[in-house]
Amino acid sequence: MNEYDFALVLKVPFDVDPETYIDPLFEAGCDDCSQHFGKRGYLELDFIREATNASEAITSAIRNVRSAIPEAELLHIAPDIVGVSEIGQIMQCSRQYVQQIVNSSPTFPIAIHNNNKGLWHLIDVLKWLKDNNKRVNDITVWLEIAAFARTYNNARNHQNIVNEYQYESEVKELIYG
Amino acid sequence: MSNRPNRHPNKEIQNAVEYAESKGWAFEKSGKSSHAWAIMKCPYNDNSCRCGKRCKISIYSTPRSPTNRAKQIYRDVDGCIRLQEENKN
Repeated sequence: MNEYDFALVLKVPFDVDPETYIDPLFEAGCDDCSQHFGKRGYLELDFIREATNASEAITSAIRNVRSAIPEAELLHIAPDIVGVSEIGQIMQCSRQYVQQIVNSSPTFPIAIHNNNKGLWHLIDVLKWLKDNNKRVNDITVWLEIAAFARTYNNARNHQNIVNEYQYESEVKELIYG
Repeated sequence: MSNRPNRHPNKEIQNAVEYAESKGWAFEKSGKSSHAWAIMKCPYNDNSCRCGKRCKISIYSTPRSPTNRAKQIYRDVDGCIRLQEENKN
């Protein structure tokens, strides 16, 4: 058994006091999550869940949440998009050390967005760290989580985008020729 | 100094809670929950910090793993951008 550390970001009805979700979550088996309800209409749940693999950890957590709050909509799973601070937390090193690796490694994955610091998909960074023997701790569990989160988020975004805009066939042609 | 009603039954969580308190986090009783020991609020409640989602947290009386729950409290407190700014100055 491993411990899987991930977060679910949920959209909940704006007019419901999120504190009413505390007990149903506990009773549905989410006593291993911490709840954040600083922003009305949203609920962020951090899980540290024991399981044999990431898929079991995350899907069981989502099942628990859905039985407690059927109206909740799962917006995304974290960590997926990360900056140097989050990468540092996962690698158990300082953010400065991560920045140093980024700056000094020409093959480091390209950021998906360049604000002043850069944002990456965690899975790309972890794979690179593994292939380049840069890791300072065991990241096997994180690789699983990052891959699952990326897959879910991507599928969900894809579904939303296809429904909202109507460029799917043109884009497919660009990708597949 | 605090209006905390009582100590959390678990030592590790109690230590994390005292740490949060030392950084200005405030207590509130949850009127709506019987499983929550307390609700804690960040003193800054800054919307630009992690979208404002982490400024308010609940703590169960009996979380599955008190060690992990304590770890998460430290993470929430230390992740506050306003606290990080203060530490820099």
